[in-house]
Amino acid sequence: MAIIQQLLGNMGVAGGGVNALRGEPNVQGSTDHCLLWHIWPGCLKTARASNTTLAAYNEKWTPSSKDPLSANWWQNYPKYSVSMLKSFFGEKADVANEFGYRWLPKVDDGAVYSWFDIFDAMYKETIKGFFAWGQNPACSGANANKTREALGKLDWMVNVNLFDNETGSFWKGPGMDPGAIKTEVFMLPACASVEKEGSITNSGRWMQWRCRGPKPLGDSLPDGDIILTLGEKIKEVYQEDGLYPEPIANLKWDYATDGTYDPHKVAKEINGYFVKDVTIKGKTYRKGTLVPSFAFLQADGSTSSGNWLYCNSYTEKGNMAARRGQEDAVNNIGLFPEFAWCWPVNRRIIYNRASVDAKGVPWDRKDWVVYFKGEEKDGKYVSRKWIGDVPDGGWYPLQNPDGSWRDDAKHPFIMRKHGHAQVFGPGRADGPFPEHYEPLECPVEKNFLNPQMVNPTAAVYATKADAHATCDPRYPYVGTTYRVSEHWQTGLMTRTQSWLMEMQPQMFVEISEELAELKGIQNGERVNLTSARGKVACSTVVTKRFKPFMMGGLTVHQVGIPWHYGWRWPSTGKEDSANLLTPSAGDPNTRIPETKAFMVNVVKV
Amino acid sequence: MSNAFFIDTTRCTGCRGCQVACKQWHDLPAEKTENRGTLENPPDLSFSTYKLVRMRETETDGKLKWLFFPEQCRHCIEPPCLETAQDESAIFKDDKTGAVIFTANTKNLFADEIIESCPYNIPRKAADGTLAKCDMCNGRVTNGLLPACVKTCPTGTMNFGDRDQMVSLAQQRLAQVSKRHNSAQLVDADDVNVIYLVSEAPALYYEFVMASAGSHGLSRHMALRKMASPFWRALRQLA
Ligand code: SF4
Ligand code: SF4
Repeated sequence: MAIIQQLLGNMGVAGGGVNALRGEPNVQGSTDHCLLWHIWPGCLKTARASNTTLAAYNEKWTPSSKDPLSANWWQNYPKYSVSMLKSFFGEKADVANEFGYRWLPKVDDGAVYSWFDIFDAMYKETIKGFFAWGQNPACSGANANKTREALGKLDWMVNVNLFDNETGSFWKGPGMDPGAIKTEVFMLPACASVEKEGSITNSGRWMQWRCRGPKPLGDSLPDGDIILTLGEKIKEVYQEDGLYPEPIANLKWDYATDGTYDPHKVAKEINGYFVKDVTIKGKTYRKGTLVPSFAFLQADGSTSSGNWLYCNSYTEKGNMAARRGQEDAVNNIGLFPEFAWCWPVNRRIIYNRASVDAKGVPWDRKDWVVYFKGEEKDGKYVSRKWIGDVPDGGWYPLQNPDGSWRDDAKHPFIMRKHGHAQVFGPGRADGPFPEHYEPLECPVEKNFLNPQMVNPTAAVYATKADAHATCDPRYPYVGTTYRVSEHWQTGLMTRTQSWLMEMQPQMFVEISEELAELKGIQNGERVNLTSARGKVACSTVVTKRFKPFMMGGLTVHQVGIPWHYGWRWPSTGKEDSANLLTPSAGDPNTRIPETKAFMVNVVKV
Repeated sequence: MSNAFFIDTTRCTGCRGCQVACKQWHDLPAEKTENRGTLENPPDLSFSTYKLVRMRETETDGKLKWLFFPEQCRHCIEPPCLETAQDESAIFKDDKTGAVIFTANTKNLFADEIIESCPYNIPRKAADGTLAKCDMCNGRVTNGLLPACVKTCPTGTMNFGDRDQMVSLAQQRLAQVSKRHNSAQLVDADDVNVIYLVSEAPALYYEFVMASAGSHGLSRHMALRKMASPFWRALRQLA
């Protein structure tokens, strides 16, 4: 996708780019703030064991370019990493202790700590404790039987959620012997999103502030309060007799107002502030002043910012994400610059200088994004002015109106080392270009497009629970998973809702009329779906929307299942997760699981 | 001038937001259902289901079509149910909005007769014989709000407003849709205040999309209106 969009010039233009369809409204926000293991907030790299000092770490991850026309924005890396450390450790962070860098855990070089790897480690009993925070891995992750077994090998688990779920109650789930399970489970009731204040960031990077609606029910709490209280308690315990107390004891943890979590304090922390009086370009910023934008962040410990990308979101002018301005920008393409706030620095379309030619004139004159309108004298630009969106760097265009090249301009792709878009690697685990491989489980013995059958760098696991069966007569049909509009994610918030259950009451499998005839299955009949890893009971939906297809001279039948069910609700306990069938195999770069293509059988009961 | 709906089925994605919104606004209980081999559920309109998205799969010209039909009361301009009931305290029409309203007094009517009289097979009865159906969200509408189903629909399928506006919107969309679909048509537009645009033959969507045709060369609609007249009614009661 990215390659095609680049080749088409669809970057930085209105309606361009690659827009991910996310499964949650706040996927962007949570990854920006370090949900994934391989990055810290603001896409800073997680420290590797070999990055032994802060200097080595900054040196390793700060790129340099010899092209004077490359902005190479990441050259500012140390300003962002040091400001982040200042935010973590506050006054405790100083030059002598490398701003607390040495207190942070480092990941082993070459090791991977993603979802699959965590549950694999749990299964192998290397991980002993687990916080399931607003998630339901017993249903949501591929190869859920392995996950459920892994949960049984833990010493303890804390389940933070709105309701009890298949994860918290795994020990009494199907096939479990509660007496034989040692895991101690704690349930912390969380409130729903509308019962708390805070922000979400959508896929267009709009950070939108949300007020609280109703008060949380019963003992449930916003997760901010839960984590704040937990943190306070953990600090107390570490201070008493922690083995290595500094990382925890020195954490800055002052986000409460009148004893409860204050989302505004956290939002300001993320934006950042000056930690002492600083004079920049002749202007003095007093200690405690919120930093106006990341251009002001420093690598000497004089600024603090939890996430440099969000610097400018909560300034002395107020909470930018709470704005609800209804006016569009001059170019009228739906930017609405004063509605909420967008990172970076309220730029709504990144790489937007790629939407203009070398002279700063938009390729698309109708739906233009930015337009250079500086003054001109004798064929040269003599002043700088861009209109439309916040330009991706306010430099002069590369060329003057008379066609002469300027040496004070910058290439548009400012986050790339040399300022240009890249069509291929380096950096991908499986080589510079995408290639077609067959899924780990597939109905044919040969890849018809190239001699390599499956991706040799795919993430596969080797425990007893990681069985695969390819071209195996026991599992002759292709299985795939998807969603329905009536249920959300593993269904914890929708399987408990009677109006939605009325519409989608049961786990189902969609099969073609041809397969139904072949197997003698009646529409609506309950069947078992089986794979090398598990079994799920389903109601059959015979549909014209599925058709057998030909592949290498072979008739292949495909069946489809939604993934939202679980045994905990509905109360019959007879519906369960599609992920009991799916394989724990993943893409080598991201570990995205291969839940869209695997082999199953449809068995009459 | 009354209100009307324009329901553009060519835009419907079958999300069923409308179906739930209707239940939510009227605080109607969910029915206990099973997956019956279709995604359509509950199986039929009922005393506690006024709106139901019908789903049909059909192959025409070698192309698969998944047709969605958000079914509800048509709020007929001359409602046969009302004529059959002959009881303003049970079934009446709000002349301002055009809504045809069933009250608790429908309990006193011959329920099956009312159901029979509806050319679109809409009313449903409770165990005690009380009848219910879509009420155009009249309470919302008379307070300046859109019907719940219209408010919820994210695709532009469900539209509501002054009848002339809806008719002209319907005609505009028909002109557009006809360019690509030979069978596109507005269903019974002159007789009802819920005007559906369909792009395929109505019978492919669901049995009761059009006013059902009867025997004897008369449309069932007309036959029923005739049957509903006081004379025929008296005659039937005698028999
Ligand atoms: S108008 Fe109101 S009562 Fe009628 S179907 Fe829509 S939501 Fe239900
Ligand atoms: S809400 Fe709109 S799109 Fe969804 S099913 Fe109803 S009419 Fe169709």
